[in-house]
Amino acid sequence: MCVYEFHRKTEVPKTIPQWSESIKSSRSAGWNPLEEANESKFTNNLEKNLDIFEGILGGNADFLVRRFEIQIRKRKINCGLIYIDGTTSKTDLNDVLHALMLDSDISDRTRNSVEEVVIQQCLPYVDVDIKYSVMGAANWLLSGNSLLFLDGLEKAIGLSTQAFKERSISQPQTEQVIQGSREGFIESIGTNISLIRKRLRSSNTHVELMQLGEQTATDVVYCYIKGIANEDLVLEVRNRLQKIDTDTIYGAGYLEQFIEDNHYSPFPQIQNTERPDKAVAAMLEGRVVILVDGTPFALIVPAVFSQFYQTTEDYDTRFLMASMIRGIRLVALIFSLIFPSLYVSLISFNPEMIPTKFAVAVAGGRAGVPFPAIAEIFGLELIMEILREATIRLPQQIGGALSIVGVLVIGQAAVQAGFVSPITVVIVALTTIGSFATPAYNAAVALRMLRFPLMILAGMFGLYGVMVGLILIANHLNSLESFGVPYLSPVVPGDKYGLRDTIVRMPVWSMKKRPKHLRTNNPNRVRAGDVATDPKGRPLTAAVGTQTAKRTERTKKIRH
Amino acid sequence: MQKPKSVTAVQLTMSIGTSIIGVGILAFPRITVEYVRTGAPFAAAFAMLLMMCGGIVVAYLGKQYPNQTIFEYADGLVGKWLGKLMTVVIGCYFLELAALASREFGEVVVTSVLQRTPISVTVFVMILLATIACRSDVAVFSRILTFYMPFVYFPALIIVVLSLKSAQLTNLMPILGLFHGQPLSNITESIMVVASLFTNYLIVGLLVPFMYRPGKAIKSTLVGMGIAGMLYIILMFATLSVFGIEEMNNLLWPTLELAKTAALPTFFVERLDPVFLAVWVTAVFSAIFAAYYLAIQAFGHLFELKSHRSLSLLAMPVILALAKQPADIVMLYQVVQQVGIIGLCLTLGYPLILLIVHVSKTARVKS
Repeated sequence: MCVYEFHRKTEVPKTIPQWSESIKSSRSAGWNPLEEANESKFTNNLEKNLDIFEGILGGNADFLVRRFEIQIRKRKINCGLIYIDGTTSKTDLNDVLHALMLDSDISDRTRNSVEEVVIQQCLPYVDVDIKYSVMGAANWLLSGNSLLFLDGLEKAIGLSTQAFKERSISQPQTEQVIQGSREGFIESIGTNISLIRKRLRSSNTHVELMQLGEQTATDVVYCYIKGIANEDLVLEVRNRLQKIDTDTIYGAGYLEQFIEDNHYSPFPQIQNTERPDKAVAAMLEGRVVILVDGTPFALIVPAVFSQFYQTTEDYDTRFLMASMIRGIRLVALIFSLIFPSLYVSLISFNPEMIPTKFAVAVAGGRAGVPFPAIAEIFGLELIMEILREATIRLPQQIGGALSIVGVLVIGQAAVQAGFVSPITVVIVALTTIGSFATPAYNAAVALRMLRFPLMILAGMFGLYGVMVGLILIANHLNSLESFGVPYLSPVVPGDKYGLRDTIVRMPVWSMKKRPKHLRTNNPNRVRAGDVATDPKGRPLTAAVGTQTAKRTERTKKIRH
Repeated sequence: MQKPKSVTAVQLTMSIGTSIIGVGILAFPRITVEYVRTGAPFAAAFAMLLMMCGGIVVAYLGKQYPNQTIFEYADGLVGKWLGKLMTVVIGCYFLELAALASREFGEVVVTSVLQRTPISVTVFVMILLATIACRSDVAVFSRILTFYMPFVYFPALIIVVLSLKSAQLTNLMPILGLFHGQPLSNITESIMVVASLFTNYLIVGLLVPFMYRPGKAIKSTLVGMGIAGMLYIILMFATLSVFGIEEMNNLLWPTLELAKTAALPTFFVERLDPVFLAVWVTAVFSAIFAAYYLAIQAFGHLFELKSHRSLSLLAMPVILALAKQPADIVMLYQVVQQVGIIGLCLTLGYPLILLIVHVSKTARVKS
């Protein structure tokens, strides 16, 4: 069972009531009973209060009302408990009824109001929230909680009895690691928050909730570490989330499209992750993590390009190996983008570059092939994409069989039939494997798709065309920004501390500063006043830590 | 008006270094050697020093007006009318420069790799690339130039290293050929030829107001121009030592020929010059981009536009027409030289005038 504490926080940003007000004024056509009930308050008559909800939700098979009586100060009070079947925990409700009906004969005179007596003495229950407006109460009810009405009370007592069905925490499917945590996010946002809290026990961790989607009222949470994340960034995230005007939020990927910077770019400007440890690491770097109820993925903003070929495991492995593996991954990424187009331009435009021995082999392989190189490789790459897409949709048992059929049988048969040359098959295979080595799926897709226009350019202009295409891509990457952060940082604009964690990952003890491009409030990972040292205790560089050290010294002097 | 700060000192250095290296890198050794024979490397060095003076002037002025581009403070210094007139002239010069550079590279591509492609296509592709890129703002402009720096410099240096095995020291002799036996007119001419390759340094005037710390402008400019100058000098030495004076006169693009001599003995590609030519597309692109962008910013200032984005599309047919003008490659190189010398006077002389006006004005204010 999950419980939110933050409903009661005073500084919760704009919530649903204000929202639907603006929505109501903008479009009066769409009728929504919740909107009508928006302004209305409860009366002190139990029947009338229940009627209000009967009006809103009556007729729904799962909308249930339980009437009962309790005794307080020797006086009988009629009560009504309303809840939505299936979303609440029956055990909890039974406990509530048990407490109220059997143990509530209290003749305490010190308390003033019935409400206080009930809450303070009769309800053995942690999460209780007073609801004043019908709108708020309805939202509370529809989130799987229940409402308790007392005759003579102009409020509803909200009981947090939410018990949606959820699966247990399991291993992340898309981001598996050899060494490292096996926990992945699940669909329930409460559990996801607890996974983050578990790893981040700092009082600076801030988790702020808003509900988005007029109909779905999806819980969306953004988390950051106060004192590390830049306030402007947090504000920007909040603003972008608030600007979303839609009736549904299906999930994180859906939300991402509302808040990204450039909607027409093939490159993802927001990172998503299934791993709580990755989300926590991002927060510690000064980023903001957005969780959406119903999705086992967290969004990380801002995202830069270098994040897409990094994995959490890079930080669990020793730095030399991690850097080498990163280098290999980068090579694979470039392969998946330009390999087929390089092949086309070498074969069709610059055969003089191929060494003679090799050229003979290539020419021999291509001897019977009726198509030009570009048609051959374009067609084969297209078939490869189709096979890949088909394998994803198929059930796992069949998928394996199909990929064997696709790769081995079709490839072999095509070569034997003389449709394609063996070397083309090799190239296509290398490209495909290369694109699997990119850890971030969304970035890999972008590069995979961009290789098609590159192939066409290569077919038209050879190496010159490939270069033109690459320049177009590079210019685009340079012009992209994610929440105000240039996409290629820390490479361009350069940042010598950020560069320690790009293609090579420097030893962890040398990364004492957070990436500069995130403009964090607290640039140092070391404690203020400490001078960062290498394992032998020598000061690392003059710049790291000394500034803060100087500052603390200065403040000490002032205090004395 | 405060400009959004987005350019670091390193970015300025790298932007200048990238924008100065353009298509001229392919032909300049031949032209320089024609004038001063083995004195060519020194001519390149003097050209670099000459243009560094211009760089100092522009960067100094930028420091004095840390919130204004060169076009903006020029209006304040020499008066609105004269300032606008000069802005137009400078804008036209850089348009022509961009056009000629794309034409020159189009010729290179058509001659050496895509023999059956019409030249108008290769020119159009290059200009289209620059036009699309020119729609970005100044921060992106400097980021793009910064990004391409390694792609411009490393291939050139690799070529030099790989071709060293066929270099002959005697080809360089006499090393001090510039100082005896050359007529003065040839010496100045050769220096101007190389110096005219540096005119893109005027982007300093555009970038300084966007710097986080405009105080570092002079140092960054000097380093950037120094790096570019060093590359020119190194390439000059390399081509001269490999080919010698006599052979150089017969080579249209000596640097490209240098790439052809560069070969790795046991490597999976036999010839490297198509690769180098391909990678140099970035160098050519960045130089065209810088010139084009300067021109568009100049015209944007002239018409007092809030955004220069649409202007880049409007300028595109003009550049295409300008690129078509020279009838053939011989004519092209004549035009390149003439325009280069006009541009040299413009980009060196105008900042100098601005500096004089600025100094006299501040002196008057002080007294």
